[in-house]
Amino acid sequence: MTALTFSSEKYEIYRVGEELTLPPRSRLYRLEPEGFDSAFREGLVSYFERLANAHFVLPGVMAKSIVAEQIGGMAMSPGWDGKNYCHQIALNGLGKESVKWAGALENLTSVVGLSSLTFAPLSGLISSRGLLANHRRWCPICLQEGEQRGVAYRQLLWDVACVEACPKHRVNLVEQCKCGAAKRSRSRAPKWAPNLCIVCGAGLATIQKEAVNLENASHKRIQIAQIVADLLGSNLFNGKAHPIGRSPIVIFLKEAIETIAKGNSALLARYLGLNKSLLCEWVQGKHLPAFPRLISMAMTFECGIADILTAETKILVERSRDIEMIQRLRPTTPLQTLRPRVVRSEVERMLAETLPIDALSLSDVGRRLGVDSTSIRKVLPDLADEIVQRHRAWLTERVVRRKEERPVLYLEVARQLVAEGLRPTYRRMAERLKGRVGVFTIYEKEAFKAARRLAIEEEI
Amino acid sequence: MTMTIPPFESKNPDPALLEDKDQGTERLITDYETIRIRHPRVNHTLQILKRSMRKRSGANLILLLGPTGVGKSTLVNSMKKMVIEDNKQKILTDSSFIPIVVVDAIASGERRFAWRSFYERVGNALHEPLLDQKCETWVRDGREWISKNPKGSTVAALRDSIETAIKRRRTEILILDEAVHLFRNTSFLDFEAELHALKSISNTFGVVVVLVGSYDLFRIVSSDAQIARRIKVVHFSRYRPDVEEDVKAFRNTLNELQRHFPIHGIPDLTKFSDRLQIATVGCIGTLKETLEGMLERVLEDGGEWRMEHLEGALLTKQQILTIQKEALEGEEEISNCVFETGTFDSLDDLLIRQGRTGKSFNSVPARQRKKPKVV
Repeated sequence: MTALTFSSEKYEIYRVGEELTLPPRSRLYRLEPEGFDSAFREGLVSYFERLANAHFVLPGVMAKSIVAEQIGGMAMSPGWDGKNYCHQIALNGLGKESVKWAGALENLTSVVGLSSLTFAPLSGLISSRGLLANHRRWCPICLQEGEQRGVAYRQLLWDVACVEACPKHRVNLVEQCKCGAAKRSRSRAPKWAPNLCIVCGAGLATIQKEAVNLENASHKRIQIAQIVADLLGSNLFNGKAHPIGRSPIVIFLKEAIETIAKGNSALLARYLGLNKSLLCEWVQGKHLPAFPRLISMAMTFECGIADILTAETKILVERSRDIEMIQRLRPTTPLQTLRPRVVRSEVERMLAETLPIDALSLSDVGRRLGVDSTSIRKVLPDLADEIVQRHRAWLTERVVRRKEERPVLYLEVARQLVAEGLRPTYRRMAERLKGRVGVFTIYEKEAFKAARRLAIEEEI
Repeated sequence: MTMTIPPFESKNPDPALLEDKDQGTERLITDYETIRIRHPRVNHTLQILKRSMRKRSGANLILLLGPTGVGKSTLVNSMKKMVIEDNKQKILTDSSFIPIVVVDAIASGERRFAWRSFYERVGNALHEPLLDQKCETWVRDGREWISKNPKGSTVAALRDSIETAIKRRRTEILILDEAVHLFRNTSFLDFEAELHALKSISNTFGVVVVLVGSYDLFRIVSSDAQIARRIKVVHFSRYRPDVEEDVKAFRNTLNELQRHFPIHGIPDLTKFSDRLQIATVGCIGTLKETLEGMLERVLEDGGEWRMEHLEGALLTKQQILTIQKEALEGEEEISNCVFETGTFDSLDDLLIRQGRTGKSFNSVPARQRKKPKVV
């Protein structure tokens, strides 16, 4: 057989199965979190909502259909409430669920480091007590800036309970949409997005700016927000710094007792405005300080929370000169040094003046006289008993009075809300009662429910 | 430059396979069916396609045309392979990146094109999850609302999600195979809407949309002047018997294909190359099918080759004439529109015509022109 001649063009032979195919692709989009590695980083809940919106599905549906598979275990059971859980601020916390969700979303999107959108990196270092707020808050100016950039997101910072101001724009955070939200419709639902009201679907950035008079935040609020923002922007969150051992707070406090209070833990407790036994429990590692306490410590030591969590004891040397101030801080003078007769007449005069208006407790009396309440009890036991009895009677009377007044007040507020076309929910009523009622607790649920029922019935 | 290749030699199959009349024969045939060849015309067309897809080349809508059985689907697979190889590094670093999507625009059997089914197919190719749960977002009184159809996703919601998926997955090329199904049997209004839907996908996200089909696709699409101006035509032509280079390339392709026959005892078929080129209208896809048919017959007869086996596998004369007619007419029709085939000489008659009338001959509005009926 003769050989053929032909041009040098390639005649590549391949089989259908041998074609180059794409390696496995991520199931969800590779959506980059906003404000990554900064103090103004996005929260995991906000990220999840944006991811679901990018895929044009409801966040609850995505949680139930896709994330549950990744999480496995309990999430696969029919009773698992991932549909609602995906909107809860608790997802931004430091619990196991946060870690599981972050891990699942990392697998689904192939974005690395999503756990830093939660407080999970601080798990074991801080307590979850008092860490997260129980409702959504936001800075309208930050949201507006985000919208102008094309990506509006909710910051993790806003979900910290102690943070009440935006450190960037120095305004108070807004807690409720004031756009006159209509009742939730059954046929349509508002879009779940970081920049929209979850009740009425109104834009929180634009509408809030018109309806709410943005107040400048107080210096203290800004200071607290700045301390938390510094923590969020620290290397602890970025995974670049690792805490020493399991309990850096214990190391830090022990060092503080030695350096500042010269070994006297009671002095340091007074310096920090704490109970001595509470400080001892922290030092012994029995439990971790609540987050607000950490902020308070950071303010007193004039350092960052990250310094405390990494046991950065160098800063304590600067504070060692405060020992003299600590010693001056003794708040009471022993009563024995005073003349009891003069004190008695003084106390009787004070009680006569104040009792019709308000009842003083023994501590209040001691504070006004500049003496220790325990000392009053020792030196003037009969008068101390009388003060205690009067105060107790006043408290009882106040409770009875409140029981009578509160339902009327609740009904009034509920009627107002119904008249405005709003459903009198617990949160709305709490918002209206702010300043009028000292404590609006969930224990008064029955009174609240009765007022709401009555107001709605009246309207119908 | 020329080079020599070793003469044809077929492989010795496993005797056990030959003995097993049912399973063995089937396996040998199936094995041969999986073989694909990248012949010179494939490489040439791929290069043109690559050039036509460059951003600065203007149009984002490309028609890849060729006669029936020329191997358009195989070319599309080669295209996919090429794009994946070109973006290898990006694909490895970004696991959400899907540079190319190939979808068959299948006929749904309905009067109108089934966009829902089409979007679902594109969505699957883009790894889009929960295609039956897509929501529609709408704004009323400055508020954004979301509505979910309890029976499944609406077409609008699907469309929105697919457009976003193309953007998010950074898809550069969307290939629609058998694209003629998109437009067949549609009314003029539907046709316009469908074309503009494709144009919108292409323009909004900068994705190159390649419509693959035979010449009747060109007849439909070019009836809209606005679209015709923006479209690029890439021709995947057959090997013509009147072109010497084509005759040579066809013979070499045949030789390469016969070298991979799973059995021995078949004579060198290149001596029938000229006749096979006529019988297959110069289409390699048809040639491959003919060879497969021949192999099947040979194996059924116990592995002994006879001329009847080859002749039995050929298309009928009527079929050949029909394909040839379609190919010739199609080639004639698109001769002035094919990408990278423009010459100054071809504009001569245009100059004469403009001189006579004083205005462009293409001044009839698109709506007044009648859409040709596709058989």
